[in-house]
Amino acid sequence: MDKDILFKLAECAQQAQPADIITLVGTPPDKHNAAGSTLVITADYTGGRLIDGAFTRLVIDKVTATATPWTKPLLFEIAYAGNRYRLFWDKLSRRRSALVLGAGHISQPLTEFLAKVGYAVTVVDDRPDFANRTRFPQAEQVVCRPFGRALTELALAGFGAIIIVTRGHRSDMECIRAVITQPASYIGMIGSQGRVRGAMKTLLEEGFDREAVDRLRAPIGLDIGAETPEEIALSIVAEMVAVDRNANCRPLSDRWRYKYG
Amino acid sequence: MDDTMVQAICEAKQAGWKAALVTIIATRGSTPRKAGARMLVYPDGRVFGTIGGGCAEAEAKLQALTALDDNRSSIYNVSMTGDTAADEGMACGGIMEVFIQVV
Repeated sequence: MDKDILFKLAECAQQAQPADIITLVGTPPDKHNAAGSTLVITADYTGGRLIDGAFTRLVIDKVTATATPWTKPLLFEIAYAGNRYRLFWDKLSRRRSALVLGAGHISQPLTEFLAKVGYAVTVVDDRPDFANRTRFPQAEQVVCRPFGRALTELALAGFGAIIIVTRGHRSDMECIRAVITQPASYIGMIGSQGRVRGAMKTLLEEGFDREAVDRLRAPIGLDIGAETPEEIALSIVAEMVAVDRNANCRPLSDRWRYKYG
Repeated sequence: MDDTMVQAICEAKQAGWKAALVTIIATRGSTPRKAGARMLVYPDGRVFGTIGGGCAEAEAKLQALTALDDNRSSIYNVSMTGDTAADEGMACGGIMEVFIQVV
């Protein structure tokens, strides 16, 4: 991969800008040296060259055409000058990131498991004895500040998942109000049925719309009968992965039973 | 491609290393990971990222090291079907098409 292209990609990654990455993967034998050539397209930049100028143009037209929206990484073919070429079209993505509000006994295994499955985790709490590196060695960032201040200082829109596990109702409510309108695909809050119902009611009374309140996953996690902090963390992470992969959370064996049972 | 992979390739490049980027470009049948999953293979055999682990990944890694020696990027098919695969534990039953790119 060309150095300029690579550094452009790194720049886009840093600034959270979108970029298309198109790689020539299949060529006729006499053009095999071109395999691996890469094209990078951003809003204000196009870098790289595939085979020649005309072919490059053809590829750019194909991927920028609104008729072919990108939904997931895919292979496509282009016929050019009597040959067939195969190209792989991907986009730059960001590492999954999670904001954990509260640094108590659930947060510890939660952060550990999240880091293990590849999340960059930020942990927030106002208690220095809880929000510190010693307790959260796997976190990307540990923020020890009052929740209100942390919530205004952090770029909340950048988190793909937000989990509220503070020590009490008041902090929970302060956190929910700040995060419920964020674009995160997963927003969850721990709590008993009663406490959750109360929180939802309060939010609606305060004027938050139903749709926003319904996005809140509370009580949090999958129903695996979790009891210990580790089990609860596991049930939360399982739900997060399922949401991220757009899965249905049913046992895989269910399908097998249906087929053969 | 996620930002951590871009970072890893940049770091390898800045250290003056060649590395092989292995990308799943298509899958058929049952495979753990799908198109777009990547791993970076360093000349010393270290790996960053995963295309699913196990024997299939090990096979792709070996092929990536060969690609580094030959300085040649190409498509490679990893089959998890058939008797050999089952014997070796690659029992998923699918086929992964990977692109090995010298970067």
